[in-house]
Amino acid sequence: MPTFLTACPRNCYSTCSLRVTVEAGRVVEIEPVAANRATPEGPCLKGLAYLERAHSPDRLRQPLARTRQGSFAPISWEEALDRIAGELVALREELGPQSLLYYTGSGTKGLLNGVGLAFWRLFGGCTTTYGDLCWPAGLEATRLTLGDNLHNAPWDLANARLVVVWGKNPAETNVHQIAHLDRALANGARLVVVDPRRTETAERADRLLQPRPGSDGALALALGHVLVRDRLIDSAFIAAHVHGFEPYSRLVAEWPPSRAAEVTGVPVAAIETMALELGTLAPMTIVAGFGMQRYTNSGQTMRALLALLAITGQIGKSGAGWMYANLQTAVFSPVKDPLDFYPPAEPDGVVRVAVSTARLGRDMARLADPPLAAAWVERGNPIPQNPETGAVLAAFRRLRFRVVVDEFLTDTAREADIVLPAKNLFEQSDIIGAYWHPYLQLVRKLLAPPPEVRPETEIYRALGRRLGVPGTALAATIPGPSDEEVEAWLGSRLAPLGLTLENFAAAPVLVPGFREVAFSDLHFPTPSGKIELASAEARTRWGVDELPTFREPEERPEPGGRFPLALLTPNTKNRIHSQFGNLATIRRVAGEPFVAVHPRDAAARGLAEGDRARLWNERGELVLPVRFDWGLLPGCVAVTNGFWLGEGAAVNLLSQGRETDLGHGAAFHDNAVQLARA
Amino acid sequence: MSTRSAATRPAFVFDGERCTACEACRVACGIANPDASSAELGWRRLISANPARHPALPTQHLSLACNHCDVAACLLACPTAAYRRDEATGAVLLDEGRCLGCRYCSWVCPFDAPRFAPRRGVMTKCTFCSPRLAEGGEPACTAACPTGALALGAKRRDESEPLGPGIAATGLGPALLLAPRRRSLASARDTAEAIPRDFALVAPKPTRKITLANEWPLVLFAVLLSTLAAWLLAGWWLATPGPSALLFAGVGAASMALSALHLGRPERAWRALSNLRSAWLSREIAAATALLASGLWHLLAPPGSVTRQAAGALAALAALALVVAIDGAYRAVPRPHAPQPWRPHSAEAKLAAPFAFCLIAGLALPAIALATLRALLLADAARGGHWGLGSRWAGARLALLSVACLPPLLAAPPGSARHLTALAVALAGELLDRAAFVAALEPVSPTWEIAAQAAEALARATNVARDRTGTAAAYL
Repeated sequence: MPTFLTACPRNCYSTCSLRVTVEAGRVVEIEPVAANRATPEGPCLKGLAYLERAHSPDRLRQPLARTRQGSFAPISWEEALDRIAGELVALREELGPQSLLYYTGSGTKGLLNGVGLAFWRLFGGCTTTYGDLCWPAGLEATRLTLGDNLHNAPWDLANARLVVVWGKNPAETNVHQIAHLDRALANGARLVVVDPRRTETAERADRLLQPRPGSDGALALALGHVLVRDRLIDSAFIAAHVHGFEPYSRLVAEWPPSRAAEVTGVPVAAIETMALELGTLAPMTIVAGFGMQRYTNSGQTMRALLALLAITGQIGKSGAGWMYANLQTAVFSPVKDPLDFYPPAEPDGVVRVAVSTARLGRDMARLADPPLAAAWVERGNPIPQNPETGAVLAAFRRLRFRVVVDEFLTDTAREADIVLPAKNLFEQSDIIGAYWHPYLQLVRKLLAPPPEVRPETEIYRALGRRLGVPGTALAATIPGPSDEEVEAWLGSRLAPLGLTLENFAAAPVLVPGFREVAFSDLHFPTPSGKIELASAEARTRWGVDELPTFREPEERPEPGGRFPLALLTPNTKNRIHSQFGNLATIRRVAGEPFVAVHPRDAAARGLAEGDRARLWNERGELVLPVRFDWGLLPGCVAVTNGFWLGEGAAVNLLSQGRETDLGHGAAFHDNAVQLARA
Repeated sequence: MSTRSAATRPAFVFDGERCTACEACRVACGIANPDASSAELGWRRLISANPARHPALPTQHLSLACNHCDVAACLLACPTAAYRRDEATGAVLLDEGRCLGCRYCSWVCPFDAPRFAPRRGVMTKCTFCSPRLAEGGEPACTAACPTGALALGAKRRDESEPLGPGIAATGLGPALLLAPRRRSLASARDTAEAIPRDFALVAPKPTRKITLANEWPLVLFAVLLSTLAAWLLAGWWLATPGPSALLFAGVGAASMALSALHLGRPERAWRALSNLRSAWLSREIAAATALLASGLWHLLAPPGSVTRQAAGALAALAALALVVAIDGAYRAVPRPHAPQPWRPHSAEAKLAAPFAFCLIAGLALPAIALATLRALLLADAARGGHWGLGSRWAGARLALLSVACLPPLLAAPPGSARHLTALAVALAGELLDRAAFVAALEPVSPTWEIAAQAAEALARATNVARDRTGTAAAYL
């Protein structure tokens, strides 16, 4: 049977290569691709579940229109596109094109995604969001400190002698990193995990530190304090490559472990021990995750973490460094994350970048001149996944007209007037990068889409004709319908890199210019050319202190107050955000939603394991069964994100639309709640 | 491939330190074997110790399917000979078309490999993906493991038994290799934590393989048939009033029908005679059939005839065989941490049948001797000794059996009303005792092993904490 090399285009660290067997128009097997050194053992349970997802009976296979009764009825493409065109032309004339919100999520990676915004420019313009839900505070902190978001190859982790996994649970969110971590441990490395949860990753750790949520910055400053106090620093490296060490050392002088212990809840002895390890075990890699950078103080937190590597000289070496985001494969655009998702300094008058994705609901409602009247949603499910679901839902319902393109009838699609069925990863070729490993990959077309499913490129071409966009402009912007035309378009994007699609025939392609060890030349593209512990741009662009100072998050649980618990909404291995959870395969593994509670907090509320509990704050409420978790830091509760509204566990009913201090990220974890028997 | 050679055989290799409980193995198994079971995802299971993350316990996982043992307990014990070994791969394969759904293979398998598929009424089990294996490939589960925790390897024939979390020594030669622990599993938390005491809340919850709700027909079968045999033989040997042919045939047939009630596929019950060579269940059914046939022949033959005596002798032999087979079937069930040698349970057929014989025949002294022996065994069970789980019912059982001893003591004539009442009470006592026996018969299973190991670890940790602080702190 023929097998094909392709790749998983989900928003996931691992971005696995897949070897796919196709038989009689169906995907029948998905196997590992050893040539990908980052993920040689093969995909996770979600990647395996593509066998179901690709052919799921729940998949949308034709356009749907909302009926008066609020349900959906199939309609023809002609009808759907005519209706959409009619609505959009009327809006464009009445309010202008910027009354349309073009919203895209991170559901599918690919160069062809760029066609969307180019199309809406041809329409006359639109409104878009800025910022990002996932990781901007960390990206911006890294950019301000190191100048760029790069890190060593995933497999280089095996060379570390000390690994600090901070706010990340790769056992669930990047399971392939575990293999590289295990190699480091087998070589004698020590592992310290910093997380308010005792995660599966923490089971491997020599030490687990559980700071109070949102206090990680204080912990990092105290670690810096001990390193500076005990001269466990690399003075030569600092002198040559670090900017701002003097003011930094004055800052950390104010943060003795005793002060940090009060703020974080981590015992002084644990801080001292960890600092000793940071200062004496080399090479050291900090594997930084997204958890602690989803607070209103978290950009500064991430800068404080980065400083620990700078002062110990643990950058630019094998086995060392800051493993946060590896944008080595971001080679198709001159502007990289995070800069490319900031609002432009000078608006071009065509695309209005005016809605913070972190505050999506409230910004959508607030916008004027013109107000938003319609939305087009692709590759995203913002209603349950953006903060403050209630506000997002209200904002969508206030619009006159909504179109959602998706593979399934998601919570957002259920709010649409027209739902258009989306292609899946086996139905149109595309090129993707990654943000952990350094491979470019071809997502290969292996199957024809179902008869009534059209890729976005075809949707836009057909819609463009109805909207009066000149055919030549469409042809110049959007590749034609045939496989050859799509491949030629992809080829034209690869050509400047000296690559062709043939390069992708047998294996994923290491990105041209790949460096196994990031910053090995010790060149840092910052204003000073050095690692910046003090950053003028931090002040000028974001209005925070030039130094990575600590302040408490805006919203935090008050012991004894109305909302005394911190709600954590981590990702689970069972889903990528709100994807995959609807599949029978995954449901059998994942089971029903629950709220994880420390037995001490449960006992204080008279809650036993399995009891149904009300979890609420002023923004919303969930009712969930309680599951005891002795590993959770008392004072925290956790519900994994990505459940749908219908499952009764859409966690963003409780979060507030707030930006992080740096990067226009979403401060999901500034989220105080109360828990009681339902 | 290095997994095939005369000296080695293919085996699962599991490294608990590398497993993250990501469940890709389960998903891969479910996808490769969509018909495995309607209720579960494939055949492979993932068992986690310490799911509630008790601070004093490590969290470790065990991914387990069928280990295709050299000495396959399921294959030997299956009364329908539904299991066979695939010589090319060493896989132990189940022919679901032969299976009658008696679940006995799940009792004797220490790895919980055969599972009951309720919708189909048969057992179902991992095939080692033997077609893939035969083509030089590997099972779906090992191919899919993204961390390398589960792999296909080669096991030497002389390799010693794997031992690890959830895996007891079985002597069966499972095709399973466990990577040794390399790192300490002590939970290393730097936040101040007291050690919670309430273990019931953190223990993994094992699933019982044998429950009275499923197995009550077998309790009735064993008690009714051994009582019936005792009644018949008392009449044959000691000329006490025996059962009528009609009653004998009726109760006998009812017992046989009852035993088929717990089958997933009762219409295949006739297949149960297919494995006399190694299966106690086949022997049990064969002996029961012989007892009923020869007993009925005995009762129908003219009184005093040679035929009647010969049939009676045959029935006695069949009854003996039945008693041995009933006990054999239960003794073959591996029990966790059972002290050696095996101490009999008071409800075993070899004690219950002669006791019934003595009561019916009015043999006072042997009845008292047997009752005393059974009372001592009961007392042992009530103390939670060899049999455990006995305390709940031991008093009631003891009382009923003691009452049953009274009529012979008072020399109530056989057949008198007092004697019959006493027999009825004795029968109730037997049923209760047998039910307690079946309820106490929890076979070896990875979930029980893990629960027991967690309990031990917790007891150790609690003692350490008490030594350190003078008192064990508790949250609840």
